Order: sequence, then C-alpha cells, then structure tokens
Amino acid sequence: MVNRTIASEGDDLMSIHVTNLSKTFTEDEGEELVVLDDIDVTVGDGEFYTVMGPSGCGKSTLLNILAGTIPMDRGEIEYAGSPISPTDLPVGYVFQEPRLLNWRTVGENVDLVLRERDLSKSQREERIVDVLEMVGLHDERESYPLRLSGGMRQRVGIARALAVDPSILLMDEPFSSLDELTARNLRDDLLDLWKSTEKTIIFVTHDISEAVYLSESVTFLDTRGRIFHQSEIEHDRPREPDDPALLETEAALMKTFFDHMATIQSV
Amino acid sequence: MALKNESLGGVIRDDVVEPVLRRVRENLLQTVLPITVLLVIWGGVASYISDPGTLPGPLITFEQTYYLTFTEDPYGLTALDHVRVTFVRAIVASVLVLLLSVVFGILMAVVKPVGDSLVNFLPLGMTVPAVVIILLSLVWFGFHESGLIFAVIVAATPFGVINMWQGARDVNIGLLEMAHSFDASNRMIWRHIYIPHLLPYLFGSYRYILGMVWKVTVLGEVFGLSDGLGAMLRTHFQFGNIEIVLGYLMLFVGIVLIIEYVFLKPLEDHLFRWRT
Ligand SMILES: Nc1ncnc2c1ncn2[C@@H]1O[C@H](COP(=O)(O)OP(=O)(O)OP(=O)(O)O)[C@@H](O)[C@H]1O
Ligand SMILES: [Mg+2]
Repeated sequence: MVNRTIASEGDDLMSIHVTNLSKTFTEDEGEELVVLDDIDVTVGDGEFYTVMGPSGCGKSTLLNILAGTIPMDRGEIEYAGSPISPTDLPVGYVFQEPRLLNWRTVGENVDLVLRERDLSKSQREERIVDVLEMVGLHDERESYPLRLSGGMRQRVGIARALAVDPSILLMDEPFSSLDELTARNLRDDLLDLWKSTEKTIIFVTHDISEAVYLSESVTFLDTRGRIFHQSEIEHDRPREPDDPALLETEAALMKTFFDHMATIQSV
Repeated sequence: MALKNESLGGVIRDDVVEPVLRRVRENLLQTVLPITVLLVIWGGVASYISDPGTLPGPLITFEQTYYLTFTEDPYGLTALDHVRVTFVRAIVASVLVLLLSVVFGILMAVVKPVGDSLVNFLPLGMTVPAVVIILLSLVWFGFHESGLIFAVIVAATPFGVINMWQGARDVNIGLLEMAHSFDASNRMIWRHIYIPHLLPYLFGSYRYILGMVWKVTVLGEVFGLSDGLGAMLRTHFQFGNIEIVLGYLMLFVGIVLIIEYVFLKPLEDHLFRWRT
C-alpha cells in the first residue's frame, strides 16, 4: 500500500483553486435560483476530493462548470498556478448514467473522444487497449453497450474518461445506480486506478459511507449553494467498508450535516 | 465461404435468399400460419357464396394473377408493367416525402418558431381527406403524373414531418452534454449522435410514408390516369371483372411483401444490430 502524504507546497503545483464561484439559474417562471453562492474550492494535486450535499444543491452544476459544459456567472479558476478557463481544464467526466452511444461498440465509444485529439491511429489504438485493460473490459471491445451489465457500462464510461488522459477525473455519482455489490467492486477498482494513475479525482455523491470510504477530503454543500463544512478523512488505507472507525466518522459527519440543515431551516 | 461468395449468384443466395428463408423458418408461426388461415377463410367464404363475380376464390384469383402477369393487353403492357409504373411513381414520391420530412422535422426541432407555427398546421394537413387533395391537384396540375405526385406529397408529408420532429426532439440531452464535456465538434456530434439517433425514426417514417404513398398513388391513378395499377383497377372494376381486380391486387401485395422482406427488413436488421 502506498502511503499518501498530505500534499506539501512543492508538489501542490497542479492543484485547482476555485474562488468566488457563483451560478444562478433562471427558471421557467422567471424565478432566480441561486445554485452556487460564492464558493471556494481547493483541490490538491492527486487528491481524492468528494463533494456531498442533498439532492438539487448544485453538485452536478459544479462539475458541469469545471467540465466547461455550462458557463459560470462569476468566479476564478486557477490551475497549476495560473488562471484558466474551465473549458481548458484537463478533465475526463464520468456521469451517473453511463451516457454511451448504444449504436457504437465499446471500443468505438472510447475511440470517439480521441478522434479529435492530435493522436495518430496507433496512439489511439494503444490508448483504447490501455484503458479497457485498466477497467477490465479488454474482452468486450467489440460488444455493443446494451449487451453489457450496468456495472460494465459504467466501467466503459470510466475507460472513456481515462482515455483522454486527464489530470482531473470528474465523477458525478458514478455508482449510485448500481447494486451495492457491484458498486463495492467498482469502488475498489477506482481506488486502485487512482493509486496507480495519481489523478486528481473530484467525486460527487450523496452516500456518506461511499464518501468516507473513498475520499481524502469531503466537502458539504447546502441547499443555499454554500459550502458549510469540510473534513479530511484520515483513516489508513486500505479501508474496510464496514470498519467501525469509518462508521463513527460517518455518524459524526451526518450529525454535522443535519445540525446545519436544521439551523438554515429555522432561520 | 469467401470462394462461395465470389459469384453474383452466390452473393444473392447468401445475402438475400438465405436471410429471407431463415426469417420464414424462424417466424413460421407468424408468417405461414396467418397466411394459411387467411386463404382458408377466403376459400371457405368464396365457395359458400359460390359467385365468382362477387368473390372469386383464391385459386381462380392466383390463376388470374399468373395470366395477367405474362399476358399483354391491347396496348402491349402486362400487369407487371402497370405495377412497375405505379411502383416508380410511389418510390419517387416517397423519397421526396422523406426528404421533406427530414428537413422540416429537424427544422421544427432546431428552430423553435418554425416548430411552434408548423405544429398548428400539421393536423390540418393530416385531416384533409386524401381524395380531396388528389382531385384538387389533378384539376390544378393536370391529369398526369406530376399532378399525382404533387397530391401524394401533400397528403403524406405531414405524417412524415411529425414523425421526424418527434425523433429530433427525443435526442438524449445527456449524450450531448457528454459530447461537449469531451470537446466534440459539431461535425462529430451530428455524425455520431444526431444521425444514428434519427436513423430508426427515419426508417419508421419511411415505412409509414411508403404505406401511405402506395394507397394515395393507386387512388390517384383510379381517378385520373390511364396507366398504372389504379387505372387497371378502375377499368376492370367498371366491367365488373372482380377476379381481374383481385388478381391485380395479389400481384401488388406480393411486390409490397418482397420490398419489405427482401430490402427493408434485412437493411433494418443490419443497421440496428446494436439493439441487442
Ligand atoms: N439548466 C438549468 N436550468 C435551470 N435550472 C437548473 C438547470 N440545471 C440545474 N438546475 C437546477 O439547479 C439545481 C441544482 O441542480 P444540480 O443538478 O446541480 O443538483 P445536484 O446537487 O446534482 O442534485 P442531485 O443530487 O439530485 O443530482 C436544481 O434545483 C436544478 O433544478
Ligand atoms: Mg446531480
């Protein structure tokens, strides 16, 4: 097992700093919905960073902004020490649903995100083989997605995100639609991938045990679009899903969460 | 395998005849059985009525079909020639209808004002009886082919447009979001998301359009043309030759079935093989 140290000044060069990020949606009836209200996020290089919060609080919106698919209203993003537009952040995105092209084979689905990058045919080929190997799907390259199980489809989604060789992996509740057994397998495989590739992972979930099991750091968003709590999870790895120490951490975090929700509701 | 495929006959045997036979074998219950039942009922009713002038039995009818197919009429045309004339008209018209449907269906989905205004007119186009459209268009454009094709286009296009519009609106937003997050160009998005997504709708629409176009074309021929299947039906109906009318009908049905099972279905199976 690799013992990860908290990133020091020196190897923190590739970290992400988001400051004063705000996003407001105008709903159909013309009402303004503040989804992200002036939030600051710092994610260290190679960190496993998890964002938690109740449904509809803006977790996906945060990831979409980082992926450059929706514009932010206000805020700055700094990556590797210099300001950067979110569209230029080197990210790979894994969604809650696999979002595969069902009419393309597994291999083609991966290849599609490589087509428009400056890669030769043989480099693309190598990447496809590599990432399918990483997620354990080298035998399914010629299969069509609808023929795969839910867990396998999610693996294809992960392979596709890895294919663009991103420094940052954005994952939006990637395991929430899987059964617990499959999800556990995928979580362990994800931790292995994270260890071996040293990518930065920004992970969204509303499952507290998943957050504690996987993450180095957990950040809580509330329904007003603010960050109200951040915790470092310092348990040794490898962790055991049902370890009482982890359960204790989960309980403490849940208490913090519900106490906070109670205060903002009573205001 | 490769050797066998080299001759044209081999190709036809392997790629056309084999799949058709396989489909018949696999769907024996769905194909042979209903046809047999239908023929038995037909034969039963015909012998009960026992008046070939009203309802000729299947045997007389198929004999008639055989005869018509290979015998020239006074103008030197066989039934096959007439059906071919109708067939060409229907194909030309249906392809034009399909093109219009694709263009307007997508336009309606992409340009909101176009969608909002056309959506009010389409039901109108769909409710005007085909006969009215045919008669008016024959009067306006003359009793020949161009009038007929115009009528068919007017009658069938609204249905195709609705279908394609539905398809274009159903595109999965999640996939588009995914494509954007991986910086896909518009070209990529069209080629790998929109077009493959629309293809099944295109197929569905074409089936529907073709069915509609056959009917309207034949009807138009009945009213105003001197050749084609519809014209023959009119002539023989006027003379009370019901067995000839049915003989023509069987030839027509046979050709439509061949188009479906030899062309459309195999093509569809190949294109949509990803649907498990
Ligand atoms: N394009 C949009 N236009 C208007 N409102 C939007 C849009 N996208 C999201 N919203 C609203 O913003 C809020 C936050 O959405 P978001 O998808 O980020 O939530 P979430 O935290 O990911 O929730 P969940 O856990 O259910 O996935 C929701 O109330 C949602 O309805
Ligand atoms: Mg979400």
